[in-house]
Amino acid sequence: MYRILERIPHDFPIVERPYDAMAKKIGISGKELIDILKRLKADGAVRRVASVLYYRRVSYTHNAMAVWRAADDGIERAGRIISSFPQVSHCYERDRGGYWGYNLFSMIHGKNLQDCMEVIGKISEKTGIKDFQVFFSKREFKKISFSIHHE
Amino acid sequence: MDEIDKKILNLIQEEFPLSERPFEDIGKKTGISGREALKRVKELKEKGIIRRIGPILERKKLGYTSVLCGVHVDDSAIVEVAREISALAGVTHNYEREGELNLWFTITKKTIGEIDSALADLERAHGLRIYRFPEKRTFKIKTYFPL
Repeated sequence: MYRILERIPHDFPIVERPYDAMAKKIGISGKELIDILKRLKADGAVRRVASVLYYRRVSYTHNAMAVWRAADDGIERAGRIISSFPQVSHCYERDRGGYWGYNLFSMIHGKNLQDCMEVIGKISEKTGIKDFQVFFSKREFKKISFSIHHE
Repeated sequence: MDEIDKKILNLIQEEFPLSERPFEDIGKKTGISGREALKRVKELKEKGIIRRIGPILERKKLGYTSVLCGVHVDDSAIVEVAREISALAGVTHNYEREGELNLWFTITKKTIGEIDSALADLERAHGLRIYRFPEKRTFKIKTYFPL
């Protein structure tokens, strides 16, 4: 079932019946393709089918990586609180890397620095975590979606 | 970009319809015809606001593993090193950030061994010490920018 993901484009054609157009090339019907994609979603291999934006062009120019030091028994709660903010796109518990004590990592997006800092302030308040650091991005060298094409 | 464009983008960032005529559905939900919805999405793509429309994959489920890496690179070498990292197969994100570890990237491959060997090559070639921050638990992955 996963093979289909290698056979359809990572970027759908923008035409009236995109699934028909893609399905035709691999010898199935549009309905079948839709069905397979729905199954892949239910399976979890496809998180969703959606548009991905160039967020810098829709005025989300700032992104901050905020790292938090959560107590072992408080990670679950803190992770949930951090994740509840719409401005947070990613939140993971990570290994400390032998580098520091921070174990919760979050990506925060905003239209300016103040917006990001405001969210970070609220997170600190709600989680009670006072030990954290914020690293704004200075330059984007690469940002692509994960794909299984050409691997 | 007008209000209808924003409505469309908010809708399809969440979910692009899995239906035979997705633009008809988008049109219905935003109060325009399917034809106009298609035209607007096409324009948003041409203008470079939409990067792509397609499946967003769960790499773990597909048998891949990824590691977030942070490394300190001297300012004089950062562009060269960053370009080399970006060119590596499996690197999806690569950012210069504030802080002592000033370059952060994500590398995804089928095995941790392949990742380790790519990182070891980089360390050797540039005299770097790359710190690895593998994920232990995912709390959230959802990029959505309300417009």
